[in-house]
Amino acid sequence: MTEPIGIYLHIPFCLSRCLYCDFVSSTGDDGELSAYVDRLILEINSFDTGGARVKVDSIFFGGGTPSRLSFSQLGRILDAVRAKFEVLADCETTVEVNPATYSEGYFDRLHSLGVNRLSIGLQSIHENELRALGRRHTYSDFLECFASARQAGFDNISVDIMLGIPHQTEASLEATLSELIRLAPEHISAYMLIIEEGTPFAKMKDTLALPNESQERKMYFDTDNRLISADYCHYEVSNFSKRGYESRHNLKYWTLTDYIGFGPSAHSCYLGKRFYNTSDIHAYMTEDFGNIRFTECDGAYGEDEYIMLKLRTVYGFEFEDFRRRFGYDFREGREDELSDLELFQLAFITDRGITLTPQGFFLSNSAIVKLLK
Amino acid sequence: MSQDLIRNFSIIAHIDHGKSTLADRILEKTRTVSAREMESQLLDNMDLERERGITIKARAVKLTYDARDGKTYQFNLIDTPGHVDFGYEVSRSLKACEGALLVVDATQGVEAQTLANAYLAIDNDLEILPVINKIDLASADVEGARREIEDIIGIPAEDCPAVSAKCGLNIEDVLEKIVTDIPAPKGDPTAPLKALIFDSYYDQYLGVVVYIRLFDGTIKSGDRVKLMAQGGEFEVCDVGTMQPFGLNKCEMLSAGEVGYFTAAIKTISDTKVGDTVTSAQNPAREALVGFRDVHPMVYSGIYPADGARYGDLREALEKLQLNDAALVFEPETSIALGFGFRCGFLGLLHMEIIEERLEREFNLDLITTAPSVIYKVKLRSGEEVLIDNPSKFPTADEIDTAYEPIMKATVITPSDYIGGIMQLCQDRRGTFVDMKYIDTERAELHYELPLNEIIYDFFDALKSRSKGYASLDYELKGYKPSKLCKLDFMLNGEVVDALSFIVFEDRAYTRARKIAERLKENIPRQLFEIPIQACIGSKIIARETVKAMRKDVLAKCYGGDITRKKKLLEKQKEGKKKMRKLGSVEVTPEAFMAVLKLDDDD
Repeated sequence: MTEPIGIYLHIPFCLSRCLYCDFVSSTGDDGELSAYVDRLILEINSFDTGGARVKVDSIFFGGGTPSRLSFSQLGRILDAVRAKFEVLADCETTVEVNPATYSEGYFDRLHSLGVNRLSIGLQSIHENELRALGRRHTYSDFLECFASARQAGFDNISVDIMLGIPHQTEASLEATLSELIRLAPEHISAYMLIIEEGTPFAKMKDTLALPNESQERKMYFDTDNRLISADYCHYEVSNFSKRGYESRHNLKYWTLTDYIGFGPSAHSCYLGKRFYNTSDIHAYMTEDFGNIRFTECDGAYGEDEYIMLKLRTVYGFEFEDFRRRFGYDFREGREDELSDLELFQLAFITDRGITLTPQGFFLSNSAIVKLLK
Repeated sequence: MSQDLIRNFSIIAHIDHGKSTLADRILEKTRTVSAREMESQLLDNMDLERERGITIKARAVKLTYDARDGKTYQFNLIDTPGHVDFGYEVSRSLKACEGALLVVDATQGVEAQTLANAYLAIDNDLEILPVINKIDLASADVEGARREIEDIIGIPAEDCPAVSAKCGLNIEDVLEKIVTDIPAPKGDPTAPLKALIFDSYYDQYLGVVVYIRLFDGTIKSGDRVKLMAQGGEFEVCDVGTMQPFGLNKCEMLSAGEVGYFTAAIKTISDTKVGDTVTSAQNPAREALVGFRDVHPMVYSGIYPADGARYGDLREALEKLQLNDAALVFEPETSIALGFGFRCGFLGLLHMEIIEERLEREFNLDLITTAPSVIYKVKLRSGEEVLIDNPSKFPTADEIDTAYEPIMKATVITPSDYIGGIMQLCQDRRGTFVDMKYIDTERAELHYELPLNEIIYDFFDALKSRSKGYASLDYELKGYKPSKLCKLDFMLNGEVVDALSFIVFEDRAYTRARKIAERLKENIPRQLFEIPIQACIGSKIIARETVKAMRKDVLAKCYGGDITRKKKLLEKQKEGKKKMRKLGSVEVTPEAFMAVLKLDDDD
């Protein structure tokens, strides 16, 4: 393994669950939290890397709300990762932060642990939209949080916003974007709301004041235009960054680099194998790790996977790389599809390679399916 | 066997009046089939026939009956197909008999096909023996049925048997009536052979098995026989009679008898129903009258949903054709649908049956184009052409006169629905001929209707306007000049040949609008906007637009969980394989079929 890999650490605890969220989490008391940290460290320690000491250049604490953990807990987990893997000096170490859980002095201490990137969930600057999502913070909470992070020396901050949420209008989104541009985080994730089955939103679906399809579409492209003109690069379907600040963690998934996830429901792709942990926290806490880890597929990075993952980012892929991997020219037998995609401005195609346009991102499922054989 | 002891008869009835059930009971009562062997409705031995409760092909069976007069009779029961599409086959089956049992449902009375079949039997000089069935039902009106038979058909029914085939009630009466009322055949066994072919099927070991009724002469193994209309000569291998569970070889068949012969005949089209079999050395002077070469009335393009199964479709059609001389097909290509076959059928039911058998027995997924009739077109050049495929219809300036087939249609309906049905016939360009009241409650309507209108769900519309009570029968009257034009549909500016069809000029606008709407509803949104245009020649007469797809993205793949994205795309990829590309537009076969289904109630 020459390329450094990414490590994902799932912290499945939240003060309360947001109404749209279907990720694995529970509220968790102090006892549970500390038992969980022990368990997570045990999983890291017992992970079989296949011999070699593996290089790591990205560590990501996601959730849930990782900021629910104390500094010492975060520190112990990081120590475990550093003991198991060869964590490179320039490793990007990210912690997801909820503005509602941050406290005075928090970011200074995070910084001292070696955390060098924050991902703060804002979602919207408007109180009515935040309330509708079930978020526990206000915009001013966020502003304090953001300022405090900057003050602590964080120079790589990502902010999450959401598109297509209840009560959102083109104008309200514009206000959110303007505020963001003024604050100038290095990275912005703009996720379109997906109503997931089993969430409170799924039940409330008909009563939610959701923007319609064409408004949603406009929101996506407004966001694209607005952020690009503010010098952000739209480098992945839902992600924007200033040059050089693309999320290493996020790119692992799309550039066919290995990553290992620890914690319940965490996914991994390692040494050509995709596997994931059970999403049942109780089982995770009590069962043998061998029993809660499931193989999804043995032959990762096949042709279809390559196309669907690579086209997720603005880098797309080069035909030469495709030929090296799969033994034939990508364009062979896809002449009509490629010319269709070009005609409808869904893809940029040069002699060297292919990438999707922002329009292509928005229709990426259909666009990609066209190219699958 | 003395001809005096032979009775050849058919059972005729309107659909669902219990013809097959009565046949079953007769087989049971004559001990041809023991109750143990009894499979419900034995004579209909195709699955499809049993399900639909109709006989598709004629069957015949020899029975033995010990009558009350102490003598043992040979009954030959010749079953007839029960649908209007097979009218010619019915007439040939009747021709092979001296009598017919006319089954009338005591709860329904005389219906359109009862009448049509009765007239057919009368035309063939058959002795008609009415049988009133379903007397076990609470709503049975035996006296009413008797009256209708006498009043409408004009045959005495005073002492006709009233039975319940289902319960096996009074079946003996029917058997005795067959002995006493149906005349024995009167052929000359010493005259040159003269036998009527009334059915045939292909057996992979025996070749074609030909069902015949001997009028004169004899036939035995080793005879050289000649088919008088078709012209072929063959040496007879076997002769015999038909048993419920197979063939029963015998020495010789003689005048008056019903049986089969085999002669290593390879294709069923050599032995056309209605042809006369005679001796090659000592031929009859003239053939039996009434032979007709049946021609398909309805054509449709049949394509495999999966283009790779073209070969399988061909094989399946060839197999079906072995036993169905009325089915014709030839290869056809459509820009939209790829390689397939243009198939000709006797009628809509025949078409449906073939499609269903292809799907069921050969496990094929099909795309079928809208059925079309055969148009005659006289061109300006003076040439006359037959058009069985709408996409081949000449342009307006090439046409001198176009002709379409007109049917003589009979509808029998409870009088409450006369208004609605007349409206329907009017809407379908029918010409009213006459109407007579059968009794105070029912009327018989005669119309001349273009076949083109009948094949577009006329039957369904008729049923829905009469709560299912009206019945229909029709036959070809001839061709009539008509204002016809070809309606084309363009998707994204390209004509989709498989959607073209011929329409009566005054109808073009309504139909065009309707189909354009239907296309819009059924074409999935794609990456781009798709204009749908209906046109006659270069003139666009209707337009719709399928809006472009607005959004198709999985915004977030959390924590490296690409499983969902993969599954989603795999599903879409599977769907893509089934898509038909019409120009640059992708359409599912289902959508395509939905467009072709023209169930217009308006």
